[in-house]
Amino acid sequence: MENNPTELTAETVADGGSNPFDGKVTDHAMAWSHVSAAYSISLAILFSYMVVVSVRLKAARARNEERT
Amino acid sequence: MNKYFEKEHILLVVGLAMLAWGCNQALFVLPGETYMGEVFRIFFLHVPTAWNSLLIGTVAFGAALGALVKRSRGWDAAVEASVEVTLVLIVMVLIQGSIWGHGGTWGDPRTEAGSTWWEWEPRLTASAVMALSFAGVLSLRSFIEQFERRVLWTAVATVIAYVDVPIVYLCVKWTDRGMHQDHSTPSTVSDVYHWPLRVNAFAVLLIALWLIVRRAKLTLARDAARADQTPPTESTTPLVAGGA
Repeated sequence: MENNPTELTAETVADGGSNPFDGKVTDHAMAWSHVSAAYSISLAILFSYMVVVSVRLKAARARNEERT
Repeated sequence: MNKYFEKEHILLVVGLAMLAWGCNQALFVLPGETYMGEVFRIFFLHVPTAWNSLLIGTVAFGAALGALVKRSRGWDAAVEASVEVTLVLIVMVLIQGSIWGHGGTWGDPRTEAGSTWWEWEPRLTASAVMALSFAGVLSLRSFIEQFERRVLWTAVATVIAYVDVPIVYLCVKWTDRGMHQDHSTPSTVSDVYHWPLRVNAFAVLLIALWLIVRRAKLTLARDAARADQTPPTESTTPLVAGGA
């Protein structure tokens, strides 16, 4: 759905207009899709990096133990 | 402590617990912001990540100064680890900010911007430069084999890259703020948002510190393996008696 800054969606009309600024409201579903994307991508990057560092550290230690 | 539970894991466990609480508050408990509505919830991850990218960048700067003075493997590992963690954090910040910008700051009379993935405004541009600078440090480092030169060049490049960090922090004071508001402080953020913001900030800090320790240990383990493989140089060849 294309976001239209001047559009009042059914949801916001039913809420009685949850955004008081001059009828310019964001679409709630669109907003939540952005929120979930931001959290998902950020946490995916963070946890992936944590896993990569842990796996590489484990492998490096295993190689050093083999050598000694 | 046994071999599977090293001391730094306490940082990770506490950090993850705090992050879980903070994200739950941000996503499901707190009300949306008056002008931005639901998309404002990105704030509770974006601002803590941004604060910590600047803080860990400062840790990298301190470690670089230490490496310049001591030239030791420990300081070098600390520089590499903190530069890499800073890069991960600033990339997360840029992605979060881009999604927030596209999600809409429409209708918000406090910002000039509309819905956009990217805007060449001061803080965004300075943040992009910061990401490129820290990536450049790691790239430069990967090309240098000799230890002494690698320590020196990495430390000098980190000090140069750090110049951008105060610019990222202060540019909203010096210039047109663009899409950003003034610094997020108790006086610029509603009371109800303070604790989730603080908890997430400390959560990201604890996780970042855990990552620095683990990443530094990885560098040291690799250095140890490399030292084992390197044949002795002239300076380290023992003197052997028995010549003519």
